[in-house]
Amino acid sequence: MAEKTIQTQTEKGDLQKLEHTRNTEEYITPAVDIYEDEKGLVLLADLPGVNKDGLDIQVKDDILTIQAHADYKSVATPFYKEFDVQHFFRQFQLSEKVDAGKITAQFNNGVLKLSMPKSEETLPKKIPIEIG
Amino acid sequence: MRTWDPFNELVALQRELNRALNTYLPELSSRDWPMGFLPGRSARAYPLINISEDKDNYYVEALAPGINTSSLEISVARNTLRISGEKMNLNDIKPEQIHRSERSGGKFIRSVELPVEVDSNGVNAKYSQGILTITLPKVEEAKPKRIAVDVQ
Repeated sequence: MAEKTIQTQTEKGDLQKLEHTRNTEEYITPAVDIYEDEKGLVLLADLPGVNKDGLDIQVKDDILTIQAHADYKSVATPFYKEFDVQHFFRQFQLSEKVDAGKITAQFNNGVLKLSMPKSEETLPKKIPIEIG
Repeated sequence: MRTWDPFNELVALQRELNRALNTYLPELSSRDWPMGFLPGRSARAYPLINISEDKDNYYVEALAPGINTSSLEISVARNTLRISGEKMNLNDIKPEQIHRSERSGGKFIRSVELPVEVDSNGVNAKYSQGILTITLPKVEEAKPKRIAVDVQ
């Protein structure tokens, strides 16, 4: 039996990229991992420099939007610089097999963990056998 | 005084290139470019660091989300700082369960040479919001001395 029961959608169609807007703020796409367990899908996203309050996760019309506003302030102006703390934006098309109302989020050490349980009708049902 | 910073120039150039690619070749660029410069995505030093200083201290900030805090080790010898640790990855997830895997993980080590010697006893580190900030006090001899000018 295949382990994946939820079909992965491509990032096309209704999904938008904030990078193309005229917004003066720079947004970058966070790297994510998505895996599936018995309960549903788990999404992990790296969002360094983001505070819990700067995180905005929304589900609308089966589109999951993760927007994160980085508010990290450097101690002083760097004389050697390899990274910029930037804002993050990414959207995903949710499958109808995911119960959008039951998504839970945890945010720890710059990593967002979204647990997206499978909807009731996709879970395996045990059929009781009556002994007559 | 504002000095010319080659890194700022490079970062700006990189942004321009990304923007140009996204505009003219979205098919080619959309998948790889925006993330290509994030840690772990390419074979380069990890974690990425910024170094700043004030009169008394050097500050090293490392972009390292999702580090297993118990694995984090920081050591200082003379003017060299060494950061090592492990980023949690999807090792215990079966490959057939993975839909998308972009955040790479695993063990890392990075040495940073600072311009002057630092006092290894006074070093302290803080990890919050996925950014590791290490404060390294300069040794007494390396601190700038103010020289009074006698006006005659």
